[in-house]
Amino acid sequence: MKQTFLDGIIKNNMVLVLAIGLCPALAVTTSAYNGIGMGMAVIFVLVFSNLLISLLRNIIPKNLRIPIFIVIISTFVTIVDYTMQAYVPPLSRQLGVFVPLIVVNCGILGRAEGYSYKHPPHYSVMDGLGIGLGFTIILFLMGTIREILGQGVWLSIPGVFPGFQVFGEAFTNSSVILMILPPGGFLAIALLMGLFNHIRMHK
Amino acid sequence: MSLFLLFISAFLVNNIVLMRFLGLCPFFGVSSKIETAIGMGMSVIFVMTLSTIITWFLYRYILIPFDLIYLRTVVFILVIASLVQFLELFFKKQIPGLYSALGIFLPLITTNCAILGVAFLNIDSDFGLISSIVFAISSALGFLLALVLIAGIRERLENAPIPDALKGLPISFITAALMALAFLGFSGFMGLSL
Amino acid sequence: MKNKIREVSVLFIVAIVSAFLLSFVYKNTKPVIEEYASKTLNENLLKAFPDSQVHFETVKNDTLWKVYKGEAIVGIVFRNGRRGYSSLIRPIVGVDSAGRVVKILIPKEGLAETPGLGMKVTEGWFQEQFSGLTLGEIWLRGDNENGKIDGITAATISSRAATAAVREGLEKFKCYLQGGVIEGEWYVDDLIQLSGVEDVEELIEDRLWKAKDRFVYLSYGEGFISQVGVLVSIWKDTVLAIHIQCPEEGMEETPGYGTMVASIEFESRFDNVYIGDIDEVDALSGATMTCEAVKKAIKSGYEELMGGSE
Repeated sequence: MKQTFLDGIIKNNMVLVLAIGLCPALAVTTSAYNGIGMGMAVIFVLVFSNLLISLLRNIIPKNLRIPIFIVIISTFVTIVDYTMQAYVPPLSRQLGVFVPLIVVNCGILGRAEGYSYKHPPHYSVMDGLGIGLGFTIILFLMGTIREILGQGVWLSIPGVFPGFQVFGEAFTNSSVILMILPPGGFLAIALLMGLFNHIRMHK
Repeated sequence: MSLFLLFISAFLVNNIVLMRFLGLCPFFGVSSKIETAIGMGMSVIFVMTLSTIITWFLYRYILIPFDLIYLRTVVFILVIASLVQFLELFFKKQIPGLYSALGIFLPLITTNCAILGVAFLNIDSDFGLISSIVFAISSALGFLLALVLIAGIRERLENAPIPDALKGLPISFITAALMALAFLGFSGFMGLSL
Repeated sequence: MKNKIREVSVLFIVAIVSAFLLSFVYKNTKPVIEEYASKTLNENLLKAFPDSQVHFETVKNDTLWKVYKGEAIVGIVFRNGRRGYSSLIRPIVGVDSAGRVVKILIPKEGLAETPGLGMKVTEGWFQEQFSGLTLGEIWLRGDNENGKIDGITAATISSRAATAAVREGLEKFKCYLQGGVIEGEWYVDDLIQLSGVEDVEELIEDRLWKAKDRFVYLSYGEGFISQVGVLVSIWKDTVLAIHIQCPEEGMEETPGYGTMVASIEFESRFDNVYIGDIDEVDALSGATMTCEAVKKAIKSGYEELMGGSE
């Protein structure tokens, strides 16, 4: 079980290894807080859809499994969407259309099809947690890189916390704005992935 | 906004891939050859336009009148998945020529978030039918453009000396970053912005 | 066959359960979402018109509110959007009865200007510059000699858009300040006459109605000394007929000159005119400004009310 969890984080890392879930990973990571928020939403959907699909795996007919998976996943996505709109409205607005778009994150359907349809519930939940956490960590790292370079602060939460000053006031006023614009997203993930490959090669 | 401006905005200024980050999986997945990139782009144009029309009518004339907007995500993704399945069968039986060209890309399209994303954006922007269709076509053309451009660059990168750690996807991301930088230059073009 | 039925019924049951679950979630979160929206809205309105004794009445959702103190209208609050560098900048603007800006507020939500540059429009010092200004002064200093707004260094597009949004909104909505004229529903009888049927459907309060085959809208244009109201019935792109507010109905143009436009003869010049050809209609000599006001009212009303609806 522990291995399932750890595999999910590193060996099967959704973004760095499998290169899926790229859209939210690039689109919402203008700040570390947004990255965590998106990651949490994905963890919730993954864990619950994995659990439910695993519980129902003997009932779900093979021919109709894909539409059933889609219905289950999109139900949890809608639940997350409305819950976020109600209880964390500023975050929900920041993430925008990418919350309902969790539905088409191929990683989630992939886990349903490739893992939880074939494994018992406790393993499936662990798998969901691991994969989700691996995704969240990457989003958090991307958000951290982009926020620190692009805005000079770290972990700012709109309306609650202005964030830690990282390089001091002078940098904040003339930060590398490019990093929070679209090209910065591509750059950040390229660097992260390159670093990951580098570490793997020299291990 | 006039339809022409809407077209320019969705095609270049707010390019769906490079500026809005929708449809990145196929953007990096099927962009190693120009030929496949064109096939994928064509399929997206076709499916995106059709799915936009269908979801627009569904939302306006079924989900809103019956107060079912909370089923939006479920219904849209099911509609898109069935549409793609249907098109695949239809092409296979009726238009084999088109099927051999586009067929292999169709199954990949269901999980292309650009399709669902455009359907959502149409609703969030409160577009009418014509605007929705124009938005869908121009977004899909923007997708095709970005895909063909990066495929062309990647074909040339094949023989370039690249550090080992950056081979494969990382260098494609850097390429995309430079393309996005170039597209950023379109903002402000004709008074349009991101 | 039996197997098929079983398989389909599983899908069916999953879908039904999903629909019920979602309707439950929706019903429980909807009030919270709406409460948050109305709470933020009221807070924002109060920030734009800081006065503890007023209450707001919505004229057009998310766009225009009338500010009442007791029974009297003491101002308006409007929201008007203009494209900035990378997003729509929609300031919330409070205006007092004299047409001066009370305060403006540019909410951060939904704004995606460049952080550190364009985003500075949400900073206090930029917004405070607007307080107390009148229409002619709401320009960037470099753009107009009467301008009193200092732009943000290196973020001219965003500053200019924010300023234009305030100015154009004030231009568009200031007619609502002249409470007497707007409040007295001078157009009611003419409305029935212009729409051709008794039961018209009100689409936007006091602004737009739908009759059987046509739309009727009310619009104001700035004349020589006052706002001139025009009621227009329109079919597609063609003006069917208009009615111009006459002195008995509260029009305040120069008696004997500007008031001449409120005649059946002048009104009939607009019958069956294509909206693009409105400028070709001959003006009345001695009342050029007021005629222009009528044309402006017809065109601006058309653009505002009919333009976006497809």
